[in-house]
Amino acid sequence: MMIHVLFQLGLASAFATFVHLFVPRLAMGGVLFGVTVPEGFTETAAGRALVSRYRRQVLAAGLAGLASIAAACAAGSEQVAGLLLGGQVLLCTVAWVLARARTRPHAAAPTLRRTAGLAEPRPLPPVLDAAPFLILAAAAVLVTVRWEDIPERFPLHWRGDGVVDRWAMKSPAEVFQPLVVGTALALGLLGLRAATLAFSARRAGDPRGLALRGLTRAILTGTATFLSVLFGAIAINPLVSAGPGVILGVAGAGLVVLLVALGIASTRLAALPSPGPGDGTPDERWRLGGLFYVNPDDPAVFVPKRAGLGYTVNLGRPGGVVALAAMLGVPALIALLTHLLAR
Amino acid sequence: VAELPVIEVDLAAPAPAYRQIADAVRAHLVAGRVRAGEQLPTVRRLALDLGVNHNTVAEAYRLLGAEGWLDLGRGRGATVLSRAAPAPSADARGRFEKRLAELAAEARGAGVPVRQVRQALLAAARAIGGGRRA
Repeated sequence: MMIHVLFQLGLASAFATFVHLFVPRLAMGGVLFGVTVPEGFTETAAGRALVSRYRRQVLAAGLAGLASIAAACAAGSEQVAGLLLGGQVLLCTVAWVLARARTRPHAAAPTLRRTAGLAEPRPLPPVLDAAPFLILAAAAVLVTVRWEDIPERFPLHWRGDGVVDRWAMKSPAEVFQPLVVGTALALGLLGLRAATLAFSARRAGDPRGLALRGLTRAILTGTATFLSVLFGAIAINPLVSAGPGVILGVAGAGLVVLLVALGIASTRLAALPSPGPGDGTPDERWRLGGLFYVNPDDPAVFVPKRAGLGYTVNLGRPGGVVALAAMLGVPALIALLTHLLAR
Repeated sequence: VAELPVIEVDLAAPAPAYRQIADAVRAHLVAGRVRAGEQLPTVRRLALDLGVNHNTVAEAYRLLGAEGWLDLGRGRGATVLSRAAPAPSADARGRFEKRLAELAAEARGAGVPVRQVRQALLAAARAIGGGRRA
């Protein structure tokens, strides 16, 4: 049966459509489809028409993707269904690039007014940084103390329909593996947070820019804490034999909380005043559909994204290239570590 | 955050960025919003926040250091100095009056009414007069 594949890919397809529909709302003030436009342009008839057309195209791509994935699953071809999901995302990207081209005639010169604070903002209490590690340490203590209660063989992985398809034999490597992975992920996310905040403009006097920094800090800290709960739950699962339901419940609840928080935050962000027009970066420094920022004259290593919420790297600075390499390399290192520990 | 002293520069303005930075920081120092002994952001940090070259900020700090506002010790960043208000020399007063006259003429040339120029000058004088004198 391909029902579980259809469910997973269908959910991913719907999520991709939702994210692409939402992207124009996530842009910083005075930026539409990666192009600097006059403040308030998005609310004009011309701005609304551009957004509506883009959304119609994304919706069409989403529906076509969902229908073709269902057809591929009905025909029993899992690989083709996966490729069709990739095709849907590609179509949404093309819709973005086309919308960007249609927005260019409305472009405005970006603001060159810059603000900076002369005093250090108050730092966050360090206990927030310690929370993910305290949670993982508590799980480590629990499995160590109750080592004798762990069965000699316990489920490691479940299929989409809930049937166990991989088992692990009791050993320190197998039992502690989720905690090692959780620690590495928490370290990576908190490191990314520290680097992003240290090597990006602080935007004092720009309420929207300040809010974006606060949101980035909250999301990365929150995600690190959530992942530590998730991997802690995975580590103690052999003790409680709760099956995949609890773990999927934790993961699903975390994802829902994250999406709701992002939705609320982006709506509030959009309502905040901004020095505008634009985000202070020149349009011509954004390459490949406005997705990549390459500006050697800007000392910032991280800059607010133009497509989506959060930050991206400045590939015109050596630090930006190093950060990108680290962001791609750390997950690869974690995958390698997981593979080595599982042997 | 709104209470923190904030400086603004306009990279499209004719005045050089280093001069704008020095003027904006000096305005906070004169008004007492940044006190003696406090540290200013490092050159790297301020350049990052303003999106300008490090040398631009370093030049502004050097200017303020030469005026006696900042101690720019190596490795210590920029520390605000306790600076007794000096008696203005005839030369300094002349420079100030010349700059002010040029600024007022620029404002009138741009269509700003005389009354508004007067009000702006009075407001600026009140702002610095209301600060703590170091």
